Amino acid sequence: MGKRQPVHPHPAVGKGRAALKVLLIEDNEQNRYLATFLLQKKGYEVLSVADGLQGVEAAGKERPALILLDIQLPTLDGYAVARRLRENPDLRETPIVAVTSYAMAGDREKAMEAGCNGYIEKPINPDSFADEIARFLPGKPQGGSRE
Amino acid sequence: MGKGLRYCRNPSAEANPLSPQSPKKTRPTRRRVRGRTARQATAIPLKPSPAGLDRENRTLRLIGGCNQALLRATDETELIKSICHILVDKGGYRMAWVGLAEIIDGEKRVRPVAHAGHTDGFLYRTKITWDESEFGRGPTGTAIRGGKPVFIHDITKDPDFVPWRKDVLQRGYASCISLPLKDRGEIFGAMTIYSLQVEAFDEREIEILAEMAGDLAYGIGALRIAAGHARLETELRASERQLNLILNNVSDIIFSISVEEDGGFRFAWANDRFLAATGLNKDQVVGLPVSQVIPEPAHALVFGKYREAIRTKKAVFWEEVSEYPAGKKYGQVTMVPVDDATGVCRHLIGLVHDATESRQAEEKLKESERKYRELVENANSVILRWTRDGRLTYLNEFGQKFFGYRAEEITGRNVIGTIVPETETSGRDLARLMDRILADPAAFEQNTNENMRRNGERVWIAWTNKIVRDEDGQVKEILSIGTDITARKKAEDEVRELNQGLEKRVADRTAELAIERDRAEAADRLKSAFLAIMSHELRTPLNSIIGFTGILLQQLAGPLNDEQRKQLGMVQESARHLLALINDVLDISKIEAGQMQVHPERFILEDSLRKAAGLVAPLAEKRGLELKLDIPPGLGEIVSDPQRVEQILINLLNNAVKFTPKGTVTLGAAVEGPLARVWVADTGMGIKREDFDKLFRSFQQIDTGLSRQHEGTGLGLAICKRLAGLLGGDIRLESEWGKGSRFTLTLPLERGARP
Repeated sequence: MGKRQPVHPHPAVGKGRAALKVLLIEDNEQNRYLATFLLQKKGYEVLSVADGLQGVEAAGKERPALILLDIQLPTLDGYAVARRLRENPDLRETPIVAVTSYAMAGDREKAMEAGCNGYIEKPINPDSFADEIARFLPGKPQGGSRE
Repeated sequence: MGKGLRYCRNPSAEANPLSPQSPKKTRPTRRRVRGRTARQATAIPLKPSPAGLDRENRTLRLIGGCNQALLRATDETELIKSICHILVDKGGYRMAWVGLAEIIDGEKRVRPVAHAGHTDGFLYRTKITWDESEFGRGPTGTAIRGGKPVFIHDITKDPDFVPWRKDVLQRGYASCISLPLKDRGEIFGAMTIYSLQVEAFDEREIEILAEMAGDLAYGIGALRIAAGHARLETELRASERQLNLILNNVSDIIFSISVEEDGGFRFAWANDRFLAATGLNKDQVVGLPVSQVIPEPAHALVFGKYREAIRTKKAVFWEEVSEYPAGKKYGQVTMVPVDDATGVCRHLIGLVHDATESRQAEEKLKESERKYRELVENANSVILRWTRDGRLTYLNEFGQKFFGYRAEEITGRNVIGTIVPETETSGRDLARLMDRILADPAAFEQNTNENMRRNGERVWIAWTNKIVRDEDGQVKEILSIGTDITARKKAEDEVRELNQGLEKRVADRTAELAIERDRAEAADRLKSAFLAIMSHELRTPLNSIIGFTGILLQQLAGPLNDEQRKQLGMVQESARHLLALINDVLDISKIEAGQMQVHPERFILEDSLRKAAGLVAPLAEKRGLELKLDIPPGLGEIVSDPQRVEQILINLLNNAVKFTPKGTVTLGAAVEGPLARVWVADTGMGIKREDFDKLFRSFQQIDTGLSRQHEGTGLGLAICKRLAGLLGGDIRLESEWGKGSRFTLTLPLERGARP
């Protein structure tokens, strides 16, 4: 028997680098599953929680490379979570990207004011989502994205 | 009057000077008159004295001297002096004096005016009266009182001589006689003669002396009359001068007319005013027939009046009106008849007074009074006067008709209860108001109140009140002029009610509108909330649909067969369309709510054009269309919102591609002045003119017969048009049916958004 060739590249193995840890704070189970699936397929380690307080706690504990933050959340909404995260010196530089279905005027500005670095409107585009978040990671060129 | 005595009783000495006046008198016999009882000297007949021829001579000398003195006399005092001297010098008496009976300081004194002979001045020092006192009981006083000669034969024995006895005896007087001076019945003094001998005066002597006294009195009287005449004449002349002065300086014409025997009238005299008025001189006037001065037509009247004055012996007055070029002249004529001593009227005195001014003033006054009366009576205003106690004293005709009272029915009655009701319909106390007006009329120069007609009908009157004061400045009456404003008041009330109604309606409507606005605002908020929620709630399931479809199509979850891929592709397309719809609806609502924000920045226009073209290129290629770029070099930079510009261009390009079956879609640009023009032209079916406006409205897809064959929300152009407006530009359409369309976006080069 010869060597088993993996059908797909394994995220944990990647292309010779350690998987980046992404914290996903999202209360909708389907959305959580979708994003987790997509990002894991792209080689990210995804840690997900379903409410704001857990999100703040997990971020402090896990020190993720990037945080994806829904805005409408139980216990603590996304704006409050972002502000709490920015209060933690360890997380001051951690990119936070709001992923939300709030698309009314001012929603984006509110998220940025609360401390987010980016804003992705739902529904996400599965074809480009991974690339969109990759732009916020350290070493990648950071730039504002509108939609 | 000439000098000398005209009225001398003895102008020449008569043949028998001893009886010059009274031929009836018998010659007086010489007889002693004894004592006081024999004082009636004139009653004693005189007898010639056979023994006294010298005495006779002496008497003749006395009479002669006396007559000469009387003839020469021009002055009363001189005459008296002369007589006294004659008595002493020619009559041989010791002393003679004349005193005049006068009243000095209320006392009847005898004033000595002249004397002759020895007196030693005692005469002028002593007191002699002609009253009943002891000083008046001497011979002089008694003679004056009694009017008869008084003689005292022996002064030493006469009891009434006490006051002067000592003085008189010292001077050797022994007897005396006093003779009253009497002229025309009036005793005005006495002549008193003293003799050194007792019983010196016999009857004959007394008679002669009495005659002398009579002559002297007569002479004095004559002199006095002559002096009086002279004085009168002087006074008369002065009076005449004064009268002339007056007559010639009065403003009236004065003249006298002589009445001729034949009944004709001639001017006898005229004053200067008359001469000035007629232009005649004095000489022409005197004797001029009146008929030559008075015009013929007036003769009957004027001479009738003259004759009336003559007949009635009374002054006649009448008035004459004369027409002159300068206007009417009024003359008040007075004719006074003047009778002569026999009672026949020989003269008329005429007086003409110019009454023009007073008559004109009077006529003017009458005219103005008539006018004012007319005005007041016929004025279309109520005019009334009322006293301080509220009683009506006058109501004009209009007022009488207006209120329904005749003057005699209302005059004297109180205004309250007649024309002023006790209270107004509104309840205002009018009785009190009237009291207040009466108490202080000045404060109520204007007032409006309800009044009452006789039939009880209420009317509204605007009053003007004026105080009428009497000569002392006291408020006498109040003059009130009123205008009926009932109709106006009614109209005003109606207007006020209307206004109040209108105000209420406006207020009601405003309230309604406010409620509607609140409702609309609430609805708007609800809409916004609804859109936000819908947007959010729709996106969540769409996230799953689009997400998992994508994952499946990417075959991340495993390989797909062709049919599965085709069907999942349809799901993906529908989901994307739904998302586009949601986004477009959201955009429209954002723009309409003024929530769409533009973010102007400087960018290269060509970059945005190529980006938009690049995005549409795959679809154009798929449909076999040529996508042409017509971009001149050096288009340059623009300040605007690149995202919105691109959104518009993508939309326009997509539309062009969708509605162009074959041919070319061209994206062109140019800079014209301050504007950038970007256009999308196609060779498609074109748009009918009548559909141009419809095209830019929400949810309008024009009926092309191909409806719903073409995907789209129907919101695209509406959004583009609004976005262009937000950017300070516009989109215009040119199209020809069947030949294609051209959408042109104009943008300001230096302006990112509407201010």
